[in-house]
Amino acid sequence: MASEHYVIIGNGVAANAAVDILRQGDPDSRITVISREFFPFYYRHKLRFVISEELQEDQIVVRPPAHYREQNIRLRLGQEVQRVDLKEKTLYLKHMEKVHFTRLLLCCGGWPRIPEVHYTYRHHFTIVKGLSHAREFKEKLAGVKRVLMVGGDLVSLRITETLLRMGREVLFLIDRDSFWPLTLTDEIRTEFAERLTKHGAEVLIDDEITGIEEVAGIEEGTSGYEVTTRREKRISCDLVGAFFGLVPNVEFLFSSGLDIDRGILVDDHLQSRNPDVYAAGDCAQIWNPAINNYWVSIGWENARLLGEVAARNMLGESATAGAPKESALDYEGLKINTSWWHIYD
Amino acid sequence: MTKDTGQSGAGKQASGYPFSDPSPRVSEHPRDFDYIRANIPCQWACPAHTNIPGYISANAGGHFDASYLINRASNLLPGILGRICSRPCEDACRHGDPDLGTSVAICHLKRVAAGRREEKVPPEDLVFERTGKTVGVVGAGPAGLAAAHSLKMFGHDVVVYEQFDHAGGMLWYGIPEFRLPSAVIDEEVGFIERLGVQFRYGQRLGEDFTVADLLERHDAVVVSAGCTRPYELGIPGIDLKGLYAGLDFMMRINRGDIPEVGERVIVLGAGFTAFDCARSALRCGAKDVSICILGVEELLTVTREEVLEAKRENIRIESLVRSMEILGSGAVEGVRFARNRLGGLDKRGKRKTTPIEGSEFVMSADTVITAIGQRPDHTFSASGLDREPVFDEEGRSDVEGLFITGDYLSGASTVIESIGSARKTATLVDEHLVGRTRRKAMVTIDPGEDTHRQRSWDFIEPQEMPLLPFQDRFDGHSAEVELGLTSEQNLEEANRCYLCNLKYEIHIPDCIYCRWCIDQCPRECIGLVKSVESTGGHLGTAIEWTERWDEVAGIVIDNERCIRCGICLRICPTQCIHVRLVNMVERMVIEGEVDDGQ
Ligand SMILES: Cc1cc2nc3c(=O)[nH]c(=O)nc-3n(C[C@H](O)[C@H](O)[C@H](O)COP(=O)(O)OP(=O)(O)OC[C@H]3O[C@@H](n4cnc5c(N)ncnc54)[C@H](O)[C@@H]3O)c2cc1C
Ligand SMILES: Cc1cc2nc3c(=O)[nH]c(=O)nc-3n(C[C@H](O)[C@H](O)[C@H](O)COP(=O)(O)OP(=O)(O)OC[C@H]3O[C@@H](n4cnc5c(N)ncnc54)[C@H](O)[C@@H]3O)c2cc1C
Ligand code: SF4
Ligand code: SF4
Ligand code: SF4
Repeated sequence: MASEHYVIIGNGVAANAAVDILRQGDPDSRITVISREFFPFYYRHKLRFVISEELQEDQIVVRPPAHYREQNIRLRLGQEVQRVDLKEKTLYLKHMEKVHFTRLLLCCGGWPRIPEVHYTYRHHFTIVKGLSHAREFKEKLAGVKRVLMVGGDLVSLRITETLLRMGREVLFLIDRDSFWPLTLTDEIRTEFAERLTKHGAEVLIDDEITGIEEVAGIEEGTSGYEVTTRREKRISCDLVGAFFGLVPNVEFLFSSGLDIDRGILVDDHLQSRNPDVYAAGDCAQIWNPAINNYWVSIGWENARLLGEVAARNMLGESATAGAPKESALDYEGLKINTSWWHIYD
Repeated sequence: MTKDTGQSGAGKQASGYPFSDPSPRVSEHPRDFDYIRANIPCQWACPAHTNIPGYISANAGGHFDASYLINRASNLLPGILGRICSRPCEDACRHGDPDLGTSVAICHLKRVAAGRREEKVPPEDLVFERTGKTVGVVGAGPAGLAAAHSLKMFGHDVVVYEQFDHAGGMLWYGIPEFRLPSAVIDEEVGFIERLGVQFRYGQRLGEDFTVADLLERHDAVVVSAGCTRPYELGIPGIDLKGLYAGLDFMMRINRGDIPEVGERVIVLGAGFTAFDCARSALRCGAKDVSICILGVEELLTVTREEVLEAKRENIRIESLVRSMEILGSGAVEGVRFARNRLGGLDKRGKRKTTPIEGSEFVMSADTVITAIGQRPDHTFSASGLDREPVFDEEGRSDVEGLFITGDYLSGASTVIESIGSARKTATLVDEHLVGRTRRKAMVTIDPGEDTHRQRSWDFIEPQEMPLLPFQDRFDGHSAEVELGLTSEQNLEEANRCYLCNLKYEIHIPDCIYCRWCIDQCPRECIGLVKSVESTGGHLGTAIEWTERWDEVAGIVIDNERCIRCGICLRICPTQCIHVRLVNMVERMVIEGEVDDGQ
């Protein structure tokens, strides 16, 4: 049998969990890992420490490139897949190179969600998904006194703590669908606001942005923002952080003919309708017969488990992805179900 | 490898070499149309073949009257289409290729031209002498209007019979005012009335008159009665109070008879009507509106802007669900759904969906609107005849003088498709009446010049449509949501367009192989060739590329990749790069003008 060429798009936790299983189960195969990020595999939850300079960048690395060399895995960093041709089993990279595969695993992760109501303001928002964003955030913070956080997700809680520790003023505008995909009751939202206030943030609820204008910043050459709200508040700030949760990052796959809804549609073996294509981690939308519904899980530990399941199935085993286990975030006594998300310090 | 690109380049041999005679040409050669298909993808994709680069360059120069007329020559209703067109051109636009960013906002630019033109009434476009023939057109929707307009231009007398009391068809009775103000419809319909087309309102085919009557009154009859028969959902519960058929719902709103809706509304369907019903339900006072679709958002046929705007208004899209039963006793209380799985393509090329066994669930609602589409009622076109006429794909029938067009021919489509269809039908009707073809698509090739395009224009961000603030949207049904691009945005957006009707060519005999153009070209689309063969027409060529200098016969531009930046033209030390202007236009046939280059 001709040897397989497993190609994995992504170099996050799902991809790396899969790679380990694939290498173990098929020692002679070719394995290629492609990531558009230039940086090696790292802990995303530690990005806030890069922002606060409590950790150096190399301290958040999970696996250095040498590891892949030792395992005879081709690691291609800083290379973006622009298009997938399933018929030709070919990936088209942004720099016009083609990569062929025999089996493809999509571990392309999530991307910060910008709700449609805020779409027009997207150019003014600062987001944190990867290391490049963390670097940008850190740089911008140098000239920043007051940060407006909009949305409200688990990442924003941690970043707010970090910003307050760094001595910045934080104004938090909690969105109507904060903690998306959960819907918080008004009561929980109020309690949540109280706790944020205790930490030193100023909190606004039941209001929303109706305009953002870029203005000159406090320091020369910098810019700031004038934000207006439905309740006719005018907020001056130096940076607007948008934290509305993550959604599967699948736009580049639209032309591929793969089944895509919110994420890449796969069965509980993480196989797509194309038998040689699998998906795992934040990018997958998985059919779960136990709950009779599709689910998308955004979170580190689940991504790892899903990466393993996909790889086993690619090797011919029959592993199934179960629904994530129940767990809850305890934010100062306020419990929020976060079965998909683990709390890391 | 030989790639037949449908484009021209340079050749070893001087014979048949395009630049041997760069004088203007007009062609009908199929290979020249192939060139248009591959090289001006937006124009080819527009069902009316609107000259898009032509009008966008007019917009860029601030020549809005000219831009409006270029549009009107093909699509007749630029002010209307500039708001609600389904925009197949934008899906095809070269600027939207994966490595080039986002398509040009072709449609929004059309609206700018319509809104900013100074000459408020376009010149009368009666081209031919009166023929003394008369044509009856049934239905004053976009197809009926386009057919009537073309037939009037051909010199025939035209009477339009419409069952309702207003022209526009679904433009008037279907599409809500907050997307398409009625004044815009009236203005553009007025231009057609002004030509002398007669409108008879309150005249229903099959009731007030028959096709047989019309065939007696007129030399030809065109039925463009649209799609009026709703598909049935075929599930239990469709008689409950609180359930509306989508088209009825919209027609009531557009007539000012506002239906009652509850707080929670479920819309079943995935097309323009479903989205309009959902957004209109909010304006009727609903608080929580979901559109439930069988497939996935990515496969929706409505425009992306429509989906975005619905979501901005806080409408949820529930994907991969199939309604199994409308629940309630007396009045609607909810819908029982099953989750769907996506499958392969069905016979019509649409994605199949199958319900997953055991996956049923209930969503509560107090109003359900079914917007699953309509089809034509073909009993109309048989009225008064002793047998059912048989129609071919182009709408000709086996009854002398009877034609059908628009959605009545194709089934539910879009405004621009029905206009494209009706313009073709009008040409067939004219052929039938006068015995020859008097309007044809042609390819014109003229000398062009450097546009002084700046490279920075390739990186201009797409301009966002200014929108009505939320607080001003929901008081009634008529506040237009999209406000139109500003003058500055018009210029920025127009500058984004590459003007793909320009064709950059290298004149090989003057080329000194310095490779400057190859090195500077941002798209790596200039290459060495082993041979270039003409495949017919002026523009058809088969090119054999090579990387070996010992077999090079020339340097050629791959126009399908070229983004018309002009860098090669400006950098070439021997000025051997030239521009030609290639356009596909519809022309009245003038004998002796066509030269196919054969
Ligand atoms: C700031 C932050 C804090 C977080 N904190 C927590 C936490 O405390 N607890 C928790 O459980 N989860 C947390 N998460 C979520 C968690 O990090 C993710 O769920 C997890 O990283 C998902 O892993 P993944 O492998 O699916 O995808 P990702 O880690 O997102 O990796 C995606 C990979 O795909 C690559 N890629 C994407 N598109 C392309 C393309 N077109 N071409 C080539 N490569 C491409 C990217 O370069 C990347 O390597 C946090 C996330 C963020 C952003
Ligand atoms: C709610 C809604 C929203 C839409 N939104 C869009 C959009 O945004 N963009 C888009 O491109 N398309 C849209 N469409 C589709 C588009 O409106 C149609 O494709 C287009 O109007 C078809 O044109 P037509 O002239 O063939 O038919 P119609 O517009 O349906 O016109 C048919 C005309 O014939 C008349 N008629 C019917 N029967 C008789 C009879 N027996 N006797 C006399 N007269 C008769 C009708 O009253 C009507 O005036 C929408 C459709 C609906 C219903
Ligand atoms: S009419 Fe529609 S399809 Fe044609 S050019 Fe205009 S927007 Fe595009
Ligand atoms: S860039 Fe301009 S001419 Fe080219 S396809 Fe797009 S709209 Fe048409
Ligand atoms: S016009 Fe620009 S893109 Fe086209 S061939 Fe010349 S340099 Fe290349």
